[in-house]
Order: sequence, then C-alpha cells, then structure tokens
Amino acid sequence: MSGTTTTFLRSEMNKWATFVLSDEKFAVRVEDVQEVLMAQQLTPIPLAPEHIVGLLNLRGGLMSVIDLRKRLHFPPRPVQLDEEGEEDGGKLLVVKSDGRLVGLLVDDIGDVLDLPSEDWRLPPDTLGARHREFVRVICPVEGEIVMGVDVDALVGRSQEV
Amino acid sequence: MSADFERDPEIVEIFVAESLEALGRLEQLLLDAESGNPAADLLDVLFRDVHTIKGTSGYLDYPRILRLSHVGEDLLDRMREGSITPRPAHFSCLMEVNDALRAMLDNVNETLEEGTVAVDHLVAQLTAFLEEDASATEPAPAEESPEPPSEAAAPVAAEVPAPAAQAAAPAPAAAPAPVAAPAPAPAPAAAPAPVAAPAPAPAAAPAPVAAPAPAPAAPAPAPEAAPSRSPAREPKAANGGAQGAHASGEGTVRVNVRVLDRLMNLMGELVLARNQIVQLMTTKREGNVVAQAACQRLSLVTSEIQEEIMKSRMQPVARVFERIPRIIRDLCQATGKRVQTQIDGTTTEIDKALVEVIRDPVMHVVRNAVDHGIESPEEREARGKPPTGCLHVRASHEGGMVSIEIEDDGKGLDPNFLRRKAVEKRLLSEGEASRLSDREAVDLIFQPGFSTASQVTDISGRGVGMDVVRTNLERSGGTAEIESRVGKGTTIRFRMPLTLAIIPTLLIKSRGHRFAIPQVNLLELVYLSEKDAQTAIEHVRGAEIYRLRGEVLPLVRLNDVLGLSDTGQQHGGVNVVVVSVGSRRYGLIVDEIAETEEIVIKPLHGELRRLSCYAGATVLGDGGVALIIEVSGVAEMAGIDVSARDSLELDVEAPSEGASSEPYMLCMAGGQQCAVPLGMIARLERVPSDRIERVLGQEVLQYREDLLTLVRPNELFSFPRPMDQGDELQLIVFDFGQPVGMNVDEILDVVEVAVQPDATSRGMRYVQGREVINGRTTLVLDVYEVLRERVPSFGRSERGPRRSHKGRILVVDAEAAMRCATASFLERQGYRVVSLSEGSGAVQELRSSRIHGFDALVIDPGSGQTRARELEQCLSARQERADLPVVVFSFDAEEPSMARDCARLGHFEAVDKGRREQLVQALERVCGERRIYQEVAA
Repeated sequence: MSGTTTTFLRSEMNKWATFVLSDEKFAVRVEDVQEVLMAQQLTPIPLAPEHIVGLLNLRGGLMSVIDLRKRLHFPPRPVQLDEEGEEDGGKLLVVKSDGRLVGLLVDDIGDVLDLPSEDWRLPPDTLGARHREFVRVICPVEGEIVMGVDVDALVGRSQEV
Repeated sequence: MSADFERDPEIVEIFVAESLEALGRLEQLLLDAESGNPAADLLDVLFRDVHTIKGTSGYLDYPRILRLSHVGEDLLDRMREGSITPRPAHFSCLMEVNDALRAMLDNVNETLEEGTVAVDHLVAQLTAFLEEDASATEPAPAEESPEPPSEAAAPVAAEVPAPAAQAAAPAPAAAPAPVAAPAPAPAPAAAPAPVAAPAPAPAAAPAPVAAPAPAPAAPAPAPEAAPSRSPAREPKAANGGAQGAHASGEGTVRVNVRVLDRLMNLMGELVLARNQIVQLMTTKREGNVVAQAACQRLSLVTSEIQEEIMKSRMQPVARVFERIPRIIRDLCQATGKRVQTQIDGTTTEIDKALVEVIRDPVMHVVRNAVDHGIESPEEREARGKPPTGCLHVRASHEGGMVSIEIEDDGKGLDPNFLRRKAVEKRLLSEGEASRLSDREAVDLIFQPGFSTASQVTDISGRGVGMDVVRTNLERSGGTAEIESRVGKGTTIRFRMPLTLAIIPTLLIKSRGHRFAIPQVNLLELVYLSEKDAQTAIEHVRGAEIYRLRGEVLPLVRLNDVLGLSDTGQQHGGVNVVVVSVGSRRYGLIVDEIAETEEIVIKPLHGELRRLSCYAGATVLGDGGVALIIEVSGVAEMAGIDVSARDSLELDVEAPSEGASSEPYMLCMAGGQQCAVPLGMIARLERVPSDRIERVLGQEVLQYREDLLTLVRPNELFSFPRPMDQGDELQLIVFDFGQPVGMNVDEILDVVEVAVQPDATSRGMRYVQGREVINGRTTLVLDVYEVLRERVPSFGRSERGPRRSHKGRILVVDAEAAMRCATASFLERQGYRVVSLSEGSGAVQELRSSRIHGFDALVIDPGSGQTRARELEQCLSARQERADLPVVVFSFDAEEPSMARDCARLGHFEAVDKGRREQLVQALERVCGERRIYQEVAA
C-alpha cells in the first residue's frame, strides 16, 4: 500500500459513513462528517466553477456546497419524486475540511460501516484518473464495492484548480 | 537560572508589549535630545524605561537583552547623576541599543526566544563610554570605583533577579512602591494595560509591573524612580497614560487581541441573529406586545454592544505614526536633508486591523516625501525656501472615515515631466498624455510601473510602490489621492473607513439573486424610466455610457458581467447604481434596488476566492445569503480600466482656485470656434439634410418619434464665413422635454474651461462669454437664451400634449435608501426624478442645467450640522433659481426646529416623510403655482 494511502487510512477509528452517487457506493471517514441535511435552496454563485453549486446559511455561518456528481463527472441526477410527489433533490453531507465546513450534495446517505483498515485495497488501475485523485481506497462489502473518498482532496483540490 | 524555569507565555507577551512601548518612547526622547531640545526629565524617563526592561528580562531569563539593557542603564544612571555629560555619540549609541533591543523583542514575540542579535559591540561601546568618562571625570573616581565592574555586573544580575523574584514577597515589600505589585507573577496580569485597552493615550507608566522583580537586584535607586515620579512635565506620550494608570489602578485591563477578534466575530453573529429576529417580528405584526418590546430592546442593546465592541478595537493612529520621526531622522542622515516633522491628530482612532493596513502606505509616502519631495538645504535656499523642509502629517475623522494627510513643502510633481515619463514608459501615447489635465497627470504616479525618481535610490524609487499603496487601500475600502504644485509641495491624502468588520451595504437584485454593494463605494442611485433610458444611455464605441451632470459614466450591466442569463423581458426602467473605485466612477446597472442592511463580511474560500467580482458573502436578516460585490473587481471584469480615467471621463470637480471650470463641447460653426456646455447636450447626431421639413416657418425633422426643431446659429451670429451646406448636417441635440438640434460644421473636442463673464461680450446676445481655448477665441454660447429665442414653444412645453410627465423633481437626501424610495415613489406618480445625495450636487445640477427646468426640489436637510449645510446649499440653489419650489421632506418636518431652521428659505412646503402621499399633493400645489407664475410672466 502506498505511503499516501496508509496516511489516508491511518485512523484510530474504522467507522465510515457511506453515501450513494449514481448507484455507486462511496464512503468518507465518520470523523470528517458533521451532519446530514436535506438538500435545500442554495444561493448560486455566478461565475463559480460548475461543481460549486451555491452557498448555504448553516446556522448563521456560510458553507459552500459541492455537487459531487459534477465533481466526479457523473451524469446529472435524474429527476426523482419522493413519496409526497416532491422532487428529491438529494442529501447534503456536511463535512469538515481544513477547519471549515463544506456541503457535499449526494444522491442518498447509506449506513455507517465498520471497515477496519486491513480490509481496504488499492483501487484497480482501471479506475479512471479523474476518480483516482479522490478515491484512494476501495473495500469489498457484501458483494458491493465501497470507495473511500478523500474529503480534503475533494475540497482542497478545488483550491488549486 | 534554573534549567527547568519555564516562561509563562502570558507574562512574556506583556513584557514584549510593554517593552516595545517603552522603546517607542525612548526613541522619541532620543530623537528630541538629538535635535537639541531634550525633555526636562529626559534622563529620568530613559533610565526608568531601560531599567524596567532590564529587570523583567532578568526575571524571564533573556541574557542578551539583560546584558545590553544593563549597560545602557548604567550609562543613563551616570548621566542622571551628572557624572557623565551626555554627548551626541551617546545618543547615537543608545539609538542603536534601542534597535537591537527591538530586534530581540521581536524575536521573543515570535518565538519566545531572544535570538542571536549581536550585542557585544554595543556592550563594548557603552562600556567604553563608562570607562572613558570614569577616568576623565574629575573627583568622582573614588566614588565610582565600586561601579565600574558594572560590565561584570551583567552575569551577576542575570542570576540575582530570578531567585529574588521567586523568593518574592519580602523584596517588593521593601520597595517604596508596594501598591504597584504585591508579587511579581500576578502583577503583570493585573497591571494597567494601555496598549490593548481603549484608553486614548498611547503610552503609559512603564514601571509598576516590572519594578518589584528587579528592585532587589538593581544597583541604582530604581524603586523610587519608578512609579512615584511621574511629573506633569513628562513628555506628552508618557504623561496622560501614567496619570491614567495611577488614577484608575483597576480601570484598565489588558485584553488579548485574539479575544477582541473573537468578540468581534461573535458580535457579527449576534447582529445577524438580531436582524433575523427583527425581521420576523416585523413580518408577523400580530405577535404579542411583550415580545415586540423585548425584540426592540434586544435590537437596541445589540446596537450598543456593537458600538462598544467596535470602540474596544479602536486604536489611536499614533500607532501608525510612531516610526515616522525615526525614519525621517535616518533619511535625513543618509541624504543630508533637513526636515522638520509635525504630526497632528495622533489620538484619532481607527480599527486595529486598519492600523496594519495603513501603516506601510504611510511609511512609504513619508519616505518618498523626504527622499524625492523635499530638496536639499542648498537647493531650497536657492529657491528662496527655508533650508529646513517641513513634513506635516495630519489625521482626522471625516464623515465616518479616517483621513490621513501627508504634506511636504518640497519640489512638488511637475505634470509635464510626468506626461513625458508616461510616454517614455509607453504607458500612454503622446496624444493621450497631452490630453491629461494636470491633476490627471499627477495622478499617474499611482500607475503600476511608474517611478518618478530620475535616480533610483535605495530608499525609494524602485517603481513599485504608489500603485501598490493605492491598491492596498482600495482593497480595504479606502482611497488615495494626490495634490501637488510645482515648487510648492505635495499632499497625499488617504481615507479609510473606521472599521471593516460590519459594513453598511445596499442590497440589489439581479435576476432574482440578491447582492450587497458596500456603501463606501456607493455614490448615488439614478433611475431612468424606460423612455428616458432609450435616449439617456448612449453608445460610444460599442460601450454604454451615461452622462451624469457632465461626467461621462461608463455603464456596466451586472447581469452581463456575472453571466446571468437574460431571461424574462426587459422591464421598464433602468436602475443605475453609481459607484466609485477610488477616484473613478461608473454606473452599475442592476435589475432592482432593495433595501440597505448592515452586514458582516464572510470571506469566500477555495476557488471562490479567485472570483474578483465578490468581496465575500453574508447572511442576511431573513436568513438568506447574498454575495458582496467587489466594485473594483466588477469594473475590471467589465473592461473598465479603473487605474486610468477614460479619456471621455471629465472631471467636473471644481479646481481649488478661480472660477469653477466646467466641461464644454468645442465645435466649429462658420469658421468660428464655439463652446457649448457639455452638461446640456443630450447627444450628437448626423442627419441627412434632405430630411429637413418646414413647419410654420420653422425647420424641423422627424427624430426618434418626435419632432426636432432645428436651430441654425448662422442666423444668430455673423460668422466669418458661411456654414457648410453639405448632404449631412452635424447636430448638437438638446433635449429638455422636446428635442432641439443646433447645426454646426464640425465637432472638435471636449475641454474644461472656467468661463469668466467678460465685459466686452455683455452686449452680445446668445453669448455667455468669450474665452481663448486651444489658442483660438471662442464664443461660449448661452444655450438657454438661444433656445428660448429660436424655439417659441420652448419652456412652455410642459403644458403641451406631448408632455409625458407631471414635472421634473430634484430629490436630495443623504440617506441612499430613502432617496431611492422617494425617487421611485415619485416616478410611479408620474414625475421625472433626478436624485442626489447632497445639496452641493443640487446646486451644481441647477447651475449646469437650469433650463432643465426642475419643477421642484424635494430635500431632506437631515439634522444638526448637516442640516445647516444642506440649507445653505438650498439657499444658493434658490439664488440660482429664485422661483424654485422647495419641499422639505423629512421625518422631522413638523418639528418646530425644522420650521425655525428652514425659515431662511422663505417659501417652502414641509411634508412628513412618513406620509408620502402628502408629498404628491404638495408637489401638485407648488408645481401648479409655478405654472401659473410662468404663464403670468409670459
């Protein structure tokens, strides 16, 4: 396992929060997650990069929201209606990165899984380069593959682009 | 010192703050002494300060600081006793000691360690002073003999104070200043804390904190020198603070800056929460009375807390200025110049964050002034100036801003030289350079890459600087201006907002999104109705412009800049927000003007920070989020060069001397050069001459769904030669309700001239005066008279069927939101409105375009001094136009004081701002009266 990957996995806790994006399962470390919100009305930022979809007032503080589908180059979310016939706008995973909060817009939130570091594997070479920068490790769980996402890369990388 | 001794960072912090303060004072005293007027108790104060540093540094185990301050103290002590006579060499050396101590303290501040600043040579030099004088002084040697080991005393002292301090209690008790501190450790915390505290005096009693610790170790009678002697004749800085500290032992507390910053942030949150609650309460009016009252109280208290917290962050600008005397001294020594410095307004207060922002610019300008501005003594004498140059630094509060002026009486900037320089450096073409006014030429020094020093020195003149200075200031909402007269000197003026944390803004909407525009950038709001907009917005080389009182404003559509789609149909009118970036202005077209709101700036992160059009974002009272517009960024993105005036843009500000100059359009007609006031011109047109028709003996042509009356000036004047009769006519179009075109041969230029009424032209009709412009005698046309004479219907058109509005109203109100509200209300009522923020603008408006025929002036004169000033302006407006109806529109309209203050105006109507429907009635009344008056006159 490469140096960065071990650093990435070097966590006392093995709990991972999973979420769904375009029918694929991803995970971030639970320590990085502050809370989960329903998707809500955002204030768009004209001229901002496409994946930064807006600003949100989170109890008096400001948080920018990244649409992970756009960030990871997935197709746009198809319009889905929930039980009440309202449009399901997805969920907001509020994560901490570099001391500030960032909202990640995802399709849905999954369970919190206990995934010890020895279960994680390096992603296969076939994983596209565009994903490789965010997906550091993968882990097979009950026939599914969970992809471990590096929050700092998702957010921090946007600082360099 | 014991190896396990651990410094308490808090104590160290206090030590550093206090010692730096003492060094600042020391520097000032040394400079005074050097310049030949030492303070009476100079040596006492010097001694005490150095002594304090020595004591505490011993306690905190800083051997180098201790060694140096110890020897310094010895020297000062001997001077104080009179056994050594101070010489300039002593002061120079002490100055260096000061620098070394400062360097070490800076290290301590950053790392808690004093670092490895070289002190040996200074110690040696001081020791040499001590020895040479010890051997030279007359009877003293015997007495002094126990002292000389003072160099050796260094290591001794290093060991003594610490145990003494740790042993503590009895030692301070023995000192005759027991009040000062019972024990060394708690003492600093409880001690007076002038730096961080809001006390106005910048300095304070140096002694009490540290005195107890060194007392036992000090060879000299430190204790009694310390807190007890603080005579009134002490230098001004030390004085106030010392007294304050004595008077209110517990009155001040040293607060960590981080705590203040945190408080400030929390304050921001509180203000936001308050705004939200207030908004909730006002939207739910049926809410219960108790809650309403509590809400009001919350609102009030929050405002007060806000104010107090702001105050706690205020620092005297003295902190900005403290290094100036020293810098000037060094510069003078390096250049051989003589400069006298005067610094005023040092108690003016400014937010701590801004102290940092403004310090470097001030230093830069001061350096420039001495290095490039002020001449050498010989040169000065040759020019008949006193050999000593004068540098005057002034700080003051001015309308919610802090103004700092740095004035020198040096050689000034030569506009021609600057023009040449700009061409040489290829910043401008020759044509462009020659078109610059002197003021604009002087302003060139703020251009990037523009260094005026013909010789680059190591002090300044590297061609980076003034542009950075201006950019930095503007980033914080400040401005930098320059005024210079050749041979007389230069004045540079900075203006900064008092604080940055909570700022008033105007909220606007574009495509349904709300944006906040900082009010510092806001000049005025102009609303153009759909019809007006078609004509008032002109196109020059593809760019949109709007003429505001003679000044050509580039227009920027916010929607375009932000790439907001042009969905929805263009609705009626156009809202122009006139904004300024430094001294440039432009008009920002937005969809809608909302309200004003005080907001807390929250920075944007990551990639968003790169968007130069935003200064940040904020949470609004209703919980929504708004982006804050960075006016300079938007200008840049729109391609407006904010660092140079557009050549179209005309400066209508009156020059300081003589008659006020105004922009004129120069044209040729029949071989005669004529000038027409630019402010009156609606636009320029070329029309095919075959479109001219004759109606009832008057030449007209169909023009934008209207009928334009043609005026031929050759029928008014006897020109040297006949006018061109080509296929196309060049027209200057005036539009005051109905278009009138004056035919000329050629448009030449736009110039700025001060037209003096001239005796010889008095008898000439249609002429205001004659001026020599660009080397040719020029007739300055009295357009008003021309139009009145040649267009019979002129001035009476308001009764005509084409009159589309009820009257032209000038609205003057300093409060942007109210001004805007009043203007849009009147627009809806069918009036045409021009709104201005202050009365002087009103006078200019009336002067430059009296025939616009405003039907009434609606003014909120404000209160207090503003009111007096506004009414004064109002009176002069009346002098321009005696029959101008005035409506005082104010929340205080019915106050007796208003009636009293406005009595001077003579006839006026007063309407309570809360009842604006009455404004319409009042306007109908006054406009009706005026119409009758005009009819009678006609």
